[in-house]
Amino acid sequence: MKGLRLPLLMLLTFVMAACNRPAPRLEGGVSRTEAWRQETVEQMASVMVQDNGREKPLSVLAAFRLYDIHGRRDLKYSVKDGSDKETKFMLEPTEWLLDVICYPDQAARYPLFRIEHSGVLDALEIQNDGQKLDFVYITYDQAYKAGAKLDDLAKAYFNIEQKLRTTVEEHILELWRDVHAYDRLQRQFGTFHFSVPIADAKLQQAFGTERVTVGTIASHADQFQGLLKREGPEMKGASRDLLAVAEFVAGVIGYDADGFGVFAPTEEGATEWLTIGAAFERVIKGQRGHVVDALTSLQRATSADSILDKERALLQFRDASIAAAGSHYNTVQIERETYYYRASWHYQAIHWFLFAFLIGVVTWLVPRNKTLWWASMGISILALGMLSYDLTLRCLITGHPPIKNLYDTFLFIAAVGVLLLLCTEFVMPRRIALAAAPFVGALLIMFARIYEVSNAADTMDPLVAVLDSNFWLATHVTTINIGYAAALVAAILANVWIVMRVCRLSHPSDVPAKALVRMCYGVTCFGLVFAVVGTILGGVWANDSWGRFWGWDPKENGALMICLGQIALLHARFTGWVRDFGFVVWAGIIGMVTVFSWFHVNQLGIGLHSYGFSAGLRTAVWSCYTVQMGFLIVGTVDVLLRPSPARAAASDKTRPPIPAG
Amino acid sequence: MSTTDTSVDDASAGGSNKGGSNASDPTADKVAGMKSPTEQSSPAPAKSEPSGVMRVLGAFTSQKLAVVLLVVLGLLTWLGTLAQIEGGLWATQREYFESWGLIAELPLSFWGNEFPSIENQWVIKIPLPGAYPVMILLFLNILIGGMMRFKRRARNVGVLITHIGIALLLVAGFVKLEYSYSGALALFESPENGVGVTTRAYESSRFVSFHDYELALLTDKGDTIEERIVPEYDLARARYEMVTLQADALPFSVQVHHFLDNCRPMPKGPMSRSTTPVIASDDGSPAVYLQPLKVDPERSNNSAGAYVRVMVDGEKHAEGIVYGLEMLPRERRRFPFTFEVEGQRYGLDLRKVIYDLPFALRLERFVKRDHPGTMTPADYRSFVKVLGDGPERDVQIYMNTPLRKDDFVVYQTSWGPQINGRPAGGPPWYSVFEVSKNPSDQWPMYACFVIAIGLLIHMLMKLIRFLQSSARTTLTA
Repeated sequence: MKGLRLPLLMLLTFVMAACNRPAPRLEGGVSRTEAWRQETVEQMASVMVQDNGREKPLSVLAAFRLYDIHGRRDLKYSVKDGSDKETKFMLEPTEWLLDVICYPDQAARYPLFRIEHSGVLDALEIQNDGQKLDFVYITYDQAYKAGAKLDDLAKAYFNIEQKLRTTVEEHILELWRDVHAYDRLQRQFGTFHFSVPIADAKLQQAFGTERVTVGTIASHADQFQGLLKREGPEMKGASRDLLAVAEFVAGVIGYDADGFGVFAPTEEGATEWLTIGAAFERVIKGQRGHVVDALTSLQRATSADSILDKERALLQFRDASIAAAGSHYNTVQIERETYYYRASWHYQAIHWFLFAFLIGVVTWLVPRNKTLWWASMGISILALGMLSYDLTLRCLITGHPPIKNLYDTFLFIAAVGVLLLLCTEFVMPRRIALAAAPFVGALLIMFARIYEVSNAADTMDPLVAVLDSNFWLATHVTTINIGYAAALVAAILANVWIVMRVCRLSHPSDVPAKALVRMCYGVTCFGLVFAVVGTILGGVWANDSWGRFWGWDPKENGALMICLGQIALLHARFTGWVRDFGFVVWAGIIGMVTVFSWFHVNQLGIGLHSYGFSAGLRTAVWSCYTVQMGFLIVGTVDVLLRPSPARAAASDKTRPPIPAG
Repeated sequence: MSTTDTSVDDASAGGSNKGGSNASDPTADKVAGMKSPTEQSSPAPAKSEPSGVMRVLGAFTSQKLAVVLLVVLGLLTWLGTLAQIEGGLWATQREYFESWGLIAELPLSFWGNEFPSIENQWVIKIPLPGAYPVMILLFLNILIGGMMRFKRRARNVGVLITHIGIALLLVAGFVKLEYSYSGALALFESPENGVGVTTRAYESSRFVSFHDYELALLTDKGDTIEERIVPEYDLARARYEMVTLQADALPFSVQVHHFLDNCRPMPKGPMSRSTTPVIASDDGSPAVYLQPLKVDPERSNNSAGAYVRVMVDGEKHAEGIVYGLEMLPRERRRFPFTFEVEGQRYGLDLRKVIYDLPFALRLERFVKRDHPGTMTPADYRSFVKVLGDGPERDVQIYMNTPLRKDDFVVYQTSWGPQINGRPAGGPPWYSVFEVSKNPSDQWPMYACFVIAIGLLIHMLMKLIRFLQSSARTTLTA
């Protein structure tokens, strides 16, 4: 043990150093000298917008935009003051979005775009130090300056087949997409930062100012309309200033055409929300009321000097936009979703699961202590309750059963896996499932959070037509995922058996090892029921939607492979072809098949279930295969090197014979 | 929290370890409730050799055979999934799942990348039986071993029911493969004033196969067209040699050659070179030939073509090409190769197989609703009038809700006109349906119920037995 101290210390130092990466510095000074007040951030979080086909809180939009562009849940930077003292800042997504709206100059200097290869910087002719760290961030300003080069390279690389692209080419394409995503976002509110100087006295009188902005035009829309009408459709006699204002108006209307919806539609039956440009067009054409208030409030929020004035204007914008939305503003749903993300019950469950796991591990050292057993079990149940509440909230927000996309499967499988293991522990209290349950729960929720950020797509986006069936989502999708959960749990138990054997924690004929195999067997039987029924139900659904029960689609094949593997395993056990070791190895292989079916087939780029490719997922999938193969190889080598219990008993006369059964 | 459950009834934990005896004898094959061949032939002495028939029967009943078949089927499924990446679904399905045997290929990759390099990826070749014979054997195994020779005891009732369900599922798959057919039907929205474009289909009682071709000999009877059909499999040899088609009642024969699975007709210019015959024209129009194209793995993306020669009294009478490009739904017209023999006008048309429906469908209206602010369809549905012997009926066909009528099923699949999923050209829309006739349409659903019931019964009985034995063990301890 003493020999391990130094390496452990070095590892700990390395981990701490890696975690303590210095925040990138914000160059060029700060425009916002104070932090946003928490109250303002919370109020703005529940502003309702429409994006990607559904109404959602502004905070959710901000979060997924930040995941997409920045690849993290928060944005960190540091600022050096006059005395060379460095202060660190961390922005939540909503705070970051408020900066984009109100302090675009500062936001454009945030370290935003992650560059993982110095070749990208070299290609864009951005000064760099050869990338001493494993990644660096560049700002929008830097990317903007290299914009022409970036566009040219992206166009060239786009025409190269994906699998033939180099890492640098892939990164440049990714950067191009991120820069354009940010550009679209900041353009959405960019028009409020433009103004048109007017020298024409009539115009100055009409608008009451010498510089015309979106806000002044919106608040003086009647006067502006009067001026236009007076000049007639040809506007031949219009002053240069009026023409400039008209041109400005036309520019504002089309400036954010591909942005998200900020204002609810006013027409009967309309469902598509209006961008700022589209709402501004309605105001110019005669619409009045709360939309005008919202536009002028936003103008004040972007133009005001002090942060207090900005915050006041932002809150006025919030009130006006809610009033303008009228019946479109679903208070319950928006507040529920805002609460969901703020409370983040599944995230809280991770901590409790880890706590329960630690206690579960301690119970191995003091096996007779029932208090610890109950403590671990109780905390696991508590965390499972949190996770279940999280899933319930998701169902209420989306109006669908718990699984609608790949992200949901993580949380659902985590909940089912934990439940299954806890039930197993109740039936066979060996303290193995007791520790495994919270471990599985925490691990899968962490995977879910990693996937959420790397995929960067709103996990509650509306469903495509074929999936929009609550009956089939509740039956086939739920059933098959219970089958996945059981297969994974069986694989984890199998790995525990291998570890116990390899580490000599238990002799294969000992009670704990036998109990583990029995648990593995029971869970496999349980999983088989759901895997088979779920797979056939999927076929029945496909028969109703695509016109065939079975089409050898990769996702269908994955599910079939799980069923075939489990049925073959149980029959092999009946025939005596596999014993304990064979059973756990086979269960481990079924675990890999489950990962193949769960994730991998979605990335093959073929079939009706393909959801696109994500490099992050590829790493996760291959990591799972590698880890599982590692267990199986180590276990097999151990079995080959160490005689089987029966042979050991026969050869070792000093050891008492192992009782049959 | 007893630690004495080593004596738990092992039957509940798999059935094979009863008293440890069976687990220690891997050759024992009767513990799951199946009669061994020896038991079947009782009262013969246990040591007597089973007859040859019983041995064969025993082989079919063997659970070990079931294990092997299941593993092979799993392997085929995995390799067939990977093969789809390069080979496409249709070709892979034929090769892996509907064939009697194949040489499967496993391209090696590491961490998702080709191994050792993208240009020189290593491929392991594995000879395997096709899924078709594997599933036939599996069916026989279940039928004989899992159902007929199964010990009929109360504890096995769940397994028996499950085996019946799986057998039903396999039968359903076989019936689907051998006796079903499907195709597409595309209809334009009916014009409100009833006056439509003559070349557009608004109503139809026929649908067109996705893949299969037929050669139609058309005889112009004035007001009607008489059709004689030659199915594609009769033309299969025309890919390599001349195929002669002869009917007794006709004064000519037709020779078909150079059948190409994917091609396009091209005018022969002075600079163009052709590897296929060139058909010269008598009327001064340019000579034409069929240019072979690479066959797309997805068969529906290909357009077949062939050369035809009309022979009268052993002499060449006319020569031309037939080309199977699908014109529907934009155009109902087709352009067959026409010729005259003894004053009678004939035509030859290579086309996708046309099937008849016992009813007709008219598209009244097509509605597509997107999720707001996106191009993602939230719903698209066709408002259809069903015309048949009885009164007209209005139905809606949309995703997950097909029309089932007279053993046919009509599904909403697509719509148009569109370019890359975006509307193009504006209304009128046309709606595309898949039409399928499958005698075993609902059998998988019945099988699902049967299997679910069987598995639940079996697993619950096992759990109850296990819990009872655990309780007994605890009490004893």
